[in-house]
Amino acid sequence: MAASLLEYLRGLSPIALSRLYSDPHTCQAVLRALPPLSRQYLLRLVGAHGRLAAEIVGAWPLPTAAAALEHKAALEQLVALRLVELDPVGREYALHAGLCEQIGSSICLARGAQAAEARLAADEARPSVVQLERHAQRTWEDVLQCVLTPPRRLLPLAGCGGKSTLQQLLLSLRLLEATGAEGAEGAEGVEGAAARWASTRAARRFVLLPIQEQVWRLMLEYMELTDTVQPGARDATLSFLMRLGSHAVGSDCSVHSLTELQRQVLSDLLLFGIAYQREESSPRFYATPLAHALLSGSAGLATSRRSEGFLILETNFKLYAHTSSPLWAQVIRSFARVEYVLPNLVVSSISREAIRDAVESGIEWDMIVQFLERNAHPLMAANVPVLPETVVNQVSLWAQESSRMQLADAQFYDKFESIELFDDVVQYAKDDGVYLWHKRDQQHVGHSALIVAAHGHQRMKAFLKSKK
Amino acid sequence: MLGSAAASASDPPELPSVASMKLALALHAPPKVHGAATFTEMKLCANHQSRPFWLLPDGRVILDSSSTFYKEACEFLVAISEPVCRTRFLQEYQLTHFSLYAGASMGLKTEEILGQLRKFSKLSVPIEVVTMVEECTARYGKVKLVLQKDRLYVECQDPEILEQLIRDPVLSSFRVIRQPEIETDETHALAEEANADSATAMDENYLEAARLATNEDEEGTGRMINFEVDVSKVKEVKERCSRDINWPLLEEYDFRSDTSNAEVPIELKSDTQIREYQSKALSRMFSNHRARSGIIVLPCGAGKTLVGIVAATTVKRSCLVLCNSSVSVEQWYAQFRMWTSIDEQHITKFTANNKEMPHPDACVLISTYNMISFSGHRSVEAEAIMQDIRGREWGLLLMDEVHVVPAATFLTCTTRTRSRCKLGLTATLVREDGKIEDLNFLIGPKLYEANWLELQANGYIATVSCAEVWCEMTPEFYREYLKASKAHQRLLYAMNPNKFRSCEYLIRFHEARGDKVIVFSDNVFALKKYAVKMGRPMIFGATSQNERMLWLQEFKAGGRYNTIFISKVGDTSIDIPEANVIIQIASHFGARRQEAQRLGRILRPKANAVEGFNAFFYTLISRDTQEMYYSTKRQQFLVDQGYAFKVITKLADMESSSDLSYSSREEQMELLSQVMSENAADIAAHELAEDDATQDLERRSGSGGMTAGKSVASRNKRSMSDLSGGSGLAYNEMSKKPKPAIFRERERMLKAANKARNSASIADNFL
Repeated sequence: MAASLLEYLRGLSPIALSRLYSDPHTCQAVLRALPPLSRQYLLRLVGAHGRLAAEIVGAWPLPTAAAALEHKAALEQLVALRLVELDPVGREYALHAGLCEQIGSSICLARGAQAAEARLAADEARPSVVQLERHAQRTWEDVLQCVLTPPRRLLPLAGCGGKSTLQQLLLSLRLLEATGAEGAEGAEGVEGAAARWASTRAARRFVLLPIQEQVWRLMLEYMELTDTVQPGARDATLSFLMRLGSHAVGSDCSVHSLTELQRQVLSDLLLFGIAYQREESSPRFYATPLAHALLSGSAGLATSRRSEGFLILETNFKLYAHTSSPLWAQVIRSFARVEYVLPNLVVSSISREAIRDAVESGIEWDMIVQFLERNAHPLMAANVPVLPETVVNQVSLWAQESSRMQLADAQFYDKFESIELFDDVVQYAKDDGVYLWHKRDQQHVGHSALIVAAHGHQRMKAFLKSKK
Repeated sequence: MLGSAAASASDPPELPSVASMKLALALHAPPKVHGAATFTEMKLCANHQSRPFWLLPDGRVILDSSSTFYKEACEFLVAISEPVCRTRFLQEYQLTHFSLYAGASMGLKTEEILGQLRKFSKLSVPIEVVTMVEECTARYGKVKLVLQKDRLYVECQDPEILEQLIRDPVLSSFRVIRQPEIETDETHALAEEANADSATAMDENYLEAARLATNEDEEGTGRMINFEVDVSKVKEVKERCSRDINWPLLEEYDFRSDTSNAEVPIELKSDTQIREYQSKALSRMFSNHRARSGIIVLPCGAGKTLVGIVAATTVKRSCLVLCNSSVSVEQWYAQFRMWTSIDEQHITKFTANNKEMPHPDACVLISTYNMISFSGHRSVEAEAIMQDIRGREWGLLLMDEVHVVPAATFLTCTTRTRSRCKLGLTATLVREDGKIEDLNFLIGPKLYEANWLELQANGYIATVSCAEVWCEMTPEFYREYLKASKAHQRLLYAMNPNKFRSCEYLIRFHEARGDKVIVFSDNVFALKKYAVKMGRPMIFGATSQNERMLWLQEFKAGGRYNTIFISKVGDTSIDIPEANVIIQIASHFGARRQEAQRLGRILRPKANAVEGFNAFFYTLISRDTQEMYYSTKRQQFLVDQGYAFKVITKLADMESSSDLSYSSREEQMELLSQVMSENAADIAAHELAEDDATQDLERRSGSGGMTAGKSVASRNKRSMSDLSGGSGLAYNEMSKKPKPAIFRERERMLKAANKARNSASIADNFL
């Protein structure tokens, strides 16, 4: 699965990409999302009116092995995204048709694609970046809460024309599973019906993932789901996401410039915290940092402000979470024993039993460690390494405990008629490579016993038959 | 400041949003987390970000060490609560009845405590805690326990409280009712008039009289009314009062106005430096110019002795110091001479070898618990000294290493000596037998407990790198382990060849670095095997005093032997400040105290720090055995003090050192057969004998009354039949056992050592 939008684009067909690149927002978004060197190369090509001889391009890197590798990767990225093409004889690099003009004009226009937006009246109550980030984080926590404790009331998705729900989306992501026969019932929004979904093991893993990966997985599935209900929705969503990503966080966009389909998608993005709109009737909306994270994966978050960590892990295996969100107590419970839940603190301790339970429920220990590291409190972040080494070490040892022993099926034979027969059979098993263990007892032949691997049973049976 | 995830006051407000409201509305309240105490309903106080701790309804306090008020809050918490864990960022404390009593005994008033809690807590102070604090502190100090001329009185001002106490069936059974004597107290005179026949009738009259007496004395100048209790039941009386009927007894000694006891001419030398935490501990003991009984907890090597000595110089009355070995007696004596101006006439030792009469007026006397509690026949001089000790009123009773002394011994010591004030010193207030509470009644509350990490950070104690080395059991050993008896299992995991090799490897590594290594083994069989195979000296229960001294000197002098093998006799009573590495190969089940005690052996600060560490503590664990479980349990105390135990599953380049012992399977098999040929009863005897020996060592040095000849005879009778070898006789008796090789080896080593030291007289003792 693609880990970011950029990677996802690499997997699209040339036709689909051509369609996307015809949109100035997409072009600008892709340009922003590119790794620095690739971006630099692309701009050089724009400056050269879209065409450059391969020799010139080849002379760009410094004559070191590392530089050559970077150069190759940067070009490879551009080619894979079909932004740049090398002619069949390998003599000239050419920019994708139309791209040169799109990018060139957006650079010249200084404010880029945003200048093309319909003019809006001055924004009096513009939210700050910090506010948007908090909003996005809290809204996304609500989504995660839905993943862990699915609400009974159905939450329709506008992008599907109301024909599908958030629960459906989570269901197809295998984060929820239907329980009970009521799943078939059509009455939407009925409270009081027994819970129809339960969260799955995958859900407990999902909540430990980095937030941008969670959002991206959800959006990928969202595009699939909406496209099946309303053909064309995938492209609409994709270009809309591109457009959101091309805006600086906190700058406003006009609702009026959106197509009908995009407006529907917008209302879902508001639900996920990827975009923000003050009221349903507001003429403007804003991109949140989540939209940027989507575009470039983890690289995108490095440029945006790193979200504040809240976890403190001590050397005595105590884990303290500075949070007022009830969600985290639930998440932490999947790998630690929660002792206290306070209004703004969750106290828990990591133990051998808790880790063993976590491993049994399909959570890998390094997932836990990464989760702890990613969300480490600034006080901890100053440490090198961030987490206490001894705890990480011990967690890995606990986790590996359960995988030290493997069970395999085997076949047990006893009550042999003679010791000679027994010896023959043991020899056969050894020759056949299925032998595991034997106990030879000459006085009480009946007590002699042999164990072979289960897959050897058929051949052993045949051999025993032939001996009779 | 912690808690940055929560919005702080200066932060921009939350954004209103219709869309996300839709989602939030659909959500249920998340299910309560099973097994956790949920206090989400509690209110956060204004400015909670800047307050240093969370106070929970069950008395748990979580303290944020990054708060600007940390130091203030921490000092307050140490005074009124028990530290649970003191790690780097967040620490936990627990309010208990005892800790609150201790706080109240230091003069903290109910309102002060509640006020501080309200000031510091991020959450509004729960009603449960308010009630608890009120209950514990409001009743504190109302009832006193007073020692007056041999007799013990329960005293109080309020006749109603006294009535309640007298009517208590348990307390009344401890009461001593004497035919009224000439008393200055008016109440007694009144009681006399009543001239009752039965005790109950007398009680009634007594109480009536007491009421009358106080009514007459409306001004309330603090007239005390009292009743006498049995001196030997002091622990029960305190238990009953403090724990059951919630009237904690106040014991204070106003030593400044004590004119009945002579002063000891003792002053602290002017160049004595007292560290900050030591003076803090002492100020807890001596606030408002009175001395109060209690316990001070400081890690080994942090200068407990000096704290005791300063206490003695402050009280300046006769002082009895009790330690748990004669070696410690010598150390205390030397320290007293070193830090104070006391002259020889006023300080005496009372041990098997020292029986001087203490100075008749006032003195400092240093002895052992066993010396005082000894119940057998004493020599004439010892008996005379004992009489003196019993007859004297001690200003201060100093008790060293209080946590290791059996409760019964303790009780005997406290009842045989009358003291106005008791100070207990220890490194760890944890015991697996739950007898810590007893100390509370026998001595008093904990007055101060130092923070290990802080001491370490300030360089007062060594920075120790703790590691647990996991050694795979060899398949052969593990097979036997699975079917062996418990005693054999312990032997098998101690003798695991991989453990042996790891131990050998670590010894080589540290000796090459110039370190001094102590190897601890509670299992004597393993101890001998290891020591003999590696050609290093060993000390265990049956090792004679002289031989011990010889080996310890060898070890301290260095050069020949930089590693010494010691059984659990070395946990407390052997002082080896030079050592900086400990390797544990077998330990006593899950005893947290032993772990801390052993760590204490290497805590004295050293100069040669490497990568920030200057001492090393290894525990070798045989994987997949019971040891794994015990080890986690043992470490709990130290882990809560902020120590981190690193797990090492593979020692770097150990595999490449092929010259380690037991590398070949043949050698391993031979070792296994030796282990398996040990008979289970013998192993049990070994273990028991060593337990005994730990005690016996003290008894031998402490049994003051015995003549020298008798003492030897009794030792031979015990003879430790199968493990001694300390005398030629024992060696002959057991020569049929498959052990001569061990002893030949040992004798050879001893011979060599003796030759080197030219000390034939010592050699006579065991050759």
